[in-house]
Amino acid sequence: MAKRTPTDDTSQVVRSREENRKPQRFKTTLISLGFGLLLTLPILDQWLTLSSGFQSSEKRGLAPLPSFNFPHVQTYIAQFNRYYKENFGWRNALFYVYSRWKYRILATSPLPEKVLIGQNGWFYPGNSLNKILNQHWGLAPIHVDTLASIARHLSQLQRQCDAQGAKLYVFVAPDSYTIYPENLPSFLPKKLPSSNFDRFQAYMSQHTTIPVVDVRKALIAAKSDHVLYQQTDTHWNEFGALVATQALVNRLRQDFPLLPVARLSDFVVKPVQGVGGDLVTMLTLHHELVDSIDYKLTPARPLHARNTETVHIVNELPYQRFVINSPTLPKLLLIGDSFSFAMTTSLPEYFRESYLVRAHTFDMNLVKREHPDIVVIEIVERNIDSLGQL
Amino acid sequence: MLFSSAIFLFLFLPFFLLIYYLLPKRFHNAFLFAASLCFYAWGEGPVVLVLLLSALINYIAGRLIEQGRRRAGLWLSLAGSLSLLFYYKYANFFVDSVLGVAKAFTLPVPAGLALTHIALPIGISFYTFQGISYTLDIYWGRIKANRSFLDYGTYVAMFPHQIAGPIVRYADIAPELADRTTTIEKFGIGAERFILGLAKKVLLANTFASLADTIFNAPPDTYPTATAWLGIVGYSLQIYFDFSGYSDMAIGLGKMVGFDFKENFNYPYVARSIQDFWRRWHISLSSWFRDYVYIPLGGNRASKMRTYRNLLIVFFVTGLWHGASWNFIIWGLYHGLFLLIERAGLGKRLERLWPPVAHAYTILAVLVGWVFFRTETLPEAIHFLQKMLGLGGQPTAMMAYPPSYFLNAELIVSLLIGFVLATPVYPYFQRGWERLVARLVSIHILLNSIYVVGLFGLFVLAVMYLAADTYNPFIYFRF
Repeated sequence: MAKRTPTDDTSQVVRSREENRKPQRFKTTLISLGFGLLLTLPILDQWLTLSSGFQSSEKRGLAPLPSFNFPHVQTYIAQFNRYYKENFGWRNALFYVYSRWKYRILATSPLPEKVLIGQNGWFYPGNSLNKILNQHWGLAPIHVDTLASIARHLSQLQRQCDAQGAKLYVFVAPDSYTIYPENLPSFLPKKLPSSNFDRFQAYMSQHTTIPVVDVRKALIAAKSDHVLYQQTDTHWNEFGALVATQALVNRLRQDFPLLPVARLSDFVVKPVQGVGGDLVTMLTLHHELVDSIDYKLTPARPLHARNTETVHIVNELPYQRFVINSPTLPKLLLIGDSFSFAMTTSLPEYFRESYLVRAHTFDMNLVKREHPDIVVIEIVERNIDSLGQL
Repeated sequence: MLFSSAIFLFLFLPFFLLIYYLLPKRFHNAFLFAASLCFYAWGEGPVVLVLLLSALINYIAGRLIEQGRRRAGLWLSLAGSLSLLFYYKYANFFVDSVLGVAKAFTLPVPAGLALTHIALPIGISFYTFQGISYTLDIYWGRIKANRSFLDYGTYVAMFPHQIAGPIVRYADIAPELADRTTTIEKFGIGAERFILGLAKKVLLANTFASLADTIFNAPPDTYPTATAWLGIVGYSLQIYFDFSGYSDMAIGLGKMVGFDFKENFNYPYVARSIQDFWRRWHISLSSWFRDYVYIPLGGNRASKMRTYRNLLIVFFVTGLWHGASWNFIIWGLYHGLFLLIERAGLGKRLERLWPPVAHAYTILAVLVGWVFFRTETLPEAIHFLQKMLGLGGQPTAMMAYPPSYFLNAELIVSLLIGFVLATPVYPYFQRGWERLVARLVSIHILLNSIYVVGLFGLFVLAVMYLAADTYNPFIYFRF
């Protein structure tokens, strides 16, 4: 047997060390190359639009690439930061995967400030909508000073409407929290001793003569037969809007007896396949999560109301005018939010003329120009506190 | 610009690395200096001049000391650096405190004495301390002054450690500043460390931050005692993963450009005493205070009382270093007091105790300390501590935040991972994995590929969370 020399041992150790270093070198090389590639992928995407199949569902204009105006360096940096944050490569694709990771794997809301995941396939808006969660938690009770300010403002509007020969009503569209508390996440209370709507109603009846139309009872009574709100949306569905219309018209009828009695049977209700609503659209899950049911309404009798004018406004819901051939009926001016949009199918059937306006401000010139008999301010429950700035 | 932002990850970093690696070695420092100034100015604007001024003061001071004008150089460094720090970080606090005392004793206060708010330049505490340690080390003859402002400026402004540390001492990186090697292996190690740090920050620290912020911002009557404990545990994990994640990213970026920064954290939550905790928490800061404040004050070389005094002074300034508020000072003194008690005899007893008891004591002391650190004012801290103790009454309003509100699948998993990673399990796993790879060397390509895919999966997951943070959908325009 050949005698081993120290040189053999040393070269063997060196070889063995080299062998041991191989895997480490392979790993770090792989990491280096991969990391370099990962860092450049977003630049490649912005250049080659590789992820164009993933569209943003944000419903807002993303920040554009700013132009540099010397010497406004700070402004440019701020604008560029915003631009890059909202437009970097693969952003929409990354959010798309993130949304599924959070919803499917972790069973939590991808955007908890925007959307709450309720029970039985229901979704609710989160605190980003005027602190709605806190309101329904009892953490944001409307302050008496706010109520006083609202009452003062509405009373002033009421006096101005009276001077124009129009009667003013406030119509509150309940939040889905109020009508479907049973599907709220388990950590939320199902019923509060007193909601902001209750406080508003009580204050208005004590301090003003403005009628507040409350359709909560009508909706709660009707929900045993039909689903009234979209499960994946902030709004009521067509049937919910019909029930609300019926309750509103019948309340108005107390002051305007010429109005016809509104009945559910005035419309044929046909169930249809639901679609994904605004809440799940924000999560980019609207193709996967849809309402279990929706409804299509058609008048039981030949349609009376004719749409005579539609004013399209950029980024807003349209203003619409409807007329029917019944000169004895009163004329309605409704200034409302997105909840009144679903009432477009049913509400105009009961008035000589209906002008449905989606606005966040009350323009008295509209009343002066339109000469309505009835002015309805429609507002969703969560925004009652903003009535003072209407 | 934060490391955990898209603009840093996908714009600044790739272009920086590309140019850095394309440039000849002799231009590396100049490019690193210029890129670091751009990095700083992008977020801070003209305040970059404060950083440059601080660097210039200490550079000149170092040269003066070396040229024999030792006292002048030292005074220039201390007065220059500390006056900048005092003005930008403590002037508002000082004036407000004086006004508060005057108000409390109904003393006459001249009109117009109140100071307008002075914006704090990010990282000023770090680069001030780096500058002071540089001149003190020259003064004590430990190092030679750098003759090139470009090289010295690169050390001070270097973006990897610029805004959140660690406090890198000149002495530690002087050789690399003059001559450093960058290899693909070192780059890979740096990238791995960076990804782990990013994941710690984005996936863990941010999740715990959301928990802690909700609880600390909620009115005390809306949550029970258990939620208060959940809040402080969440905050403790948040601050650890946030800070150590940032240090990991800094160390990783340093490696990518050829520097070896020292470790800044060594699993502080497994400490068995407060003294042990400070050997493991923000090591670059605690060792800085040890070497440049505690030892010059006399350390433990004189009487017991002098040692106690020195400890309290060190922890007073440690608290103040973290922020200009009485809560930080109380937090510092609170830790100093524990150290004092441990030095007085408790430390020896802790060593003899069953380790879990010593751990429990340390964790409890640290958790209570974080309450002062997290809250804005002393009354807030006291309310929160009362809540933790079950004092101050049960929730009176609607009980909005029971623990069940927070404990969803994501938080439970994050807490479990957080608890595990706050202990030295990961290095243990890594060593085991490396042993396995060494043993199964024939399939090392497969095993290493699995590891790398997992690492990149973590990176993509972290970036997904960053993308979600920028996603702000509206239901309708203006509705």
